[in-house]
Amino acid sequence: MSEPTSTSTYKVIGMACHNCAATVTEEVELLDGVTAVTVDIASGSLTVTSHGNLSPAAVRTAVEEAGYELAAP
Amino acid sequence: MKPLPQSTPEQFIADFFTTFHEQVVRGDHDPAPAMARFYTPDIVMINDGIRLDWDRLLSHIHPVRKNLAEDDDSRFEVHEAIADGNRIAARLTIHAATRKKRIATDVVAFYTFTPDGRMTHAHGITRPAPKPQEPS
Repeated sequence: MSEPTSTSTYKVIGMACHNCAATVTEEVELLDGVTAVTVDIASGSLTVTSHGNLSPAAVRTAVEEAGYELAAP
Repeated sequence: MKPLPQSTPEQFIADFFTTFHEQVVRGDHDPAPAMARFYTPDIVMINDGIRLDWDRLLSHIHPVRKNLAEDDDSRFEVHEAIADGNRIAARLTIHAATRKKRIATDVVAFYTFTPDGRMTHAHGITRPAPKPQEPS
């Protein structure tokens, strides 16, 4: 039986182009348990699907490693 | 910025982005005052269908700074440009080195400038530049 998945959406500050989306996506995809990452540049949204519950702190760290910031929830 | 009539369109675009990179992107100063020398406060840049205003363009500077390599080797290769009054249509490739990889982005865009050389509108599309051995 497969582990349940969860999906969370965040707002990223500073994205403006496809290079930004690729940089954020590549960093968040490295997190354990992440199965899908979707970025919408126009709205600045980042949607992360993962096995189990992914820590928002881990997502924030990955986004910051990519050079961007998460907006306050 | 040098007013448009004092340059060829190709040189104007190359100089615009080169000096923007040197004076706005590079460094750790507040980018807003420097950006005001290049963009009007009401600038609208539509890039691949995404509308960027002054605030979004300004917020993009910090991550770009963080991601560029120390020696980013940025270069703005203008392939062609045509001017019509205060508007320029240009095809260029932006080359840069980030902390993790080299990137090259093709841009085709229409730009509108004020008489003193500030950009007030841009509308363009981009793609990752094909590698030299790939057909373009």
